[in-house]
Amino acid sequence: MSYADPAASPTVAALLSLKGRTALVVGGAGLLGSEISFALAEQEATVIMAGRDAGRCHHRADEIMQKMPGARARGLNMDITKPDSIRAGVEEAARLTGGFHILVNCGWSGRKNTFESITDEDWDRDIEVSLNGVFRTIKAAVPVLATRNGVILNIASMYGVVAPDPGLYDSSKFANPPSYGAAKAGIVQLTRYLAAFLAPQGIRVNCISPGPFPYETTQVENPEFIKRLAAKNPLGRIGRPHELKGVAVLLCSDASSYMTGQNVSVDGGWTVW
Amino acid sequence: MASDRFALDGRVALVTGGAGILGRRFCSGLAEHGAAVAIVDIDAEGAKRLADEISRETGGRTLPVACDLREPEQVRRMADDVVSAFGRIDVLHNNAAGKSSDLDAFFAPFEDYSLKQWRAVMAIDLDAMFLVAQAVGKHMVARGGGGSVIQTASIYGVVAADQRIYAGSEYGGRPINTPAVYAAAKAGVIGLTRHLAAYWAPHRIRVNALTPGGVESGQNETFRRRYSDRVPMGRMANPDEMVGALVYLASDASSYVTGQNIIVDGGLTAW
Repeated sequence: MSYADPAASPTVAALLSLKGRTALVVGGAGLLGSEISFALAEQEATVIMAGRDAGRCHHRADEIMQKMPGARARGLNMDITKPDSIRAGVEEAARLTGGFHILVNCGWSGRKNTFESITDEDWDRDIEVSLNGVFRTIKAAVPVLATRNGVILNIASMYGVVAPDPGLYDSSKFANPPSYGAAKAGIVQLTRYLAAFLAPQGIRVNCISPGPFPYETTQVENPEFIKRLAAKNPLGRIGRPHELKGVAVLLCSDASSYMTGQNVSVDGGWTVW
Repeated sequence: MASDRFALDGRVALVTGGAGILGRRFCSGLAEHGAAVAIVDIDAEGAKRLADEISRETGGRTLPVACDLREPEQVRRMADDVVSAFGRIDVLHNNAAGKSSDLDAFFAPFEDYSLKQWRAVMAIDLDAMFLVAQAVGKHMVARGGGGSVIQTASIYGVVAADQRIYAGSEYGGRPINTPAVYAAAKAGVIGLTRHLAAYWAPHRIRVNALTPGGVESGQNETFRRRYSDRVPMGRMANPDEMVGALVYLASDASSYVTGQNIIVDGGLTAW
């Protein structure tokens, strides 16, 4: 093919297709991870959904296969707070699939805290899950990805880009802890670092910074908070989890074959003003 | 002493828009730190009065220069005049900006904004930055002694304006907003800053941007309140609060800093 031959270039549908690819989605049964897992499956990827709650992962995988006959998905036990569990999980995912092409890091858990209330233990645990766990997962997965022109997609956050407005949070029960933004900013920079250092191995690394996607429980418990979140955002509303599907497919597929080291914000405009 | 690095004794500074709300503080700040200051403004009288005032108060040398920065010939002559008077230019503060004379056209809604008005604002907010940087930079390069260029950008060259703050907001009794042309021009200033930082680095000319947040001047209470609600520090800026960053960028205190945008906005862009 000549350098520019639009008549012969791959179609958009072909570029976005994940047929023949396998994805390991860590945190794949969570609020955003589920949507991403479904999106990858819809593009015909085989999806391994890994998480601490293996039952929930299996359940989500069954849902995928029920919704899409012919789709291949399964759950996998993996606790990203435990280095042994990460290594075992990555090995198991590679064994089950004969090697995966896509790694999505979507795992997260943490306690609500203010700067005043957060303890050393809370801080350490949050960083352990949100940053150290991602590092260890990537380190374990790179040998698998390196032979397959792999891609890594990390889920960061708007709070890795800007600070929360304390006025949005009326009590420490809902407060976004300082550890969260620090870990997520770390993810953004780790993404850039790895984009540079893994490029020679043919691995692309990008991240998504979601805006406000509060849990449904928060929406029910604290509608006033949701109103404040919506009012602060240029688009005037919180995000709908399915609004991450498009960007996840873009960044995991050949449609983004010349993108690496980027942070794509999906935040309703939160960080533009 | 570390504070010696901030000294501007023996340096020559040129400030465009030097008689404006921020410009006058910039000029006096540079003079207080020992610089001879050329005060360039379209308002000849204002520049003259300010020059006299600063010389009286600081004992420093000042030079008022009337110049319409939209005119390339005037800009060249202005730079030459300052070099003739002071022998050199070490610090250029590219600071002038304007709303043009037609405020109705300046504040017009984007959908109805005229190309004529767009170009009128660009002529001073961006084109003049180019003309002045070119005319003064030429002297700096020719002299071979390096230099520091500081260009005034804006928070609205970094983030978008929340349009809701303009409901009921007035300045001098007239409704106000931030037009798109201002945002585009100021983002252009930041781009020009980075470009020139790389381009002139071999000549030891540092180029940085200074981004002020909203400065309290003649806005009504509604605007001040709405704007302040968006700022982590909860208030607008005082012009004096920009001077420290300017002196830092102008002086040897920032001798390894180039291509940066120093944002002095009370945290507006941090959340």
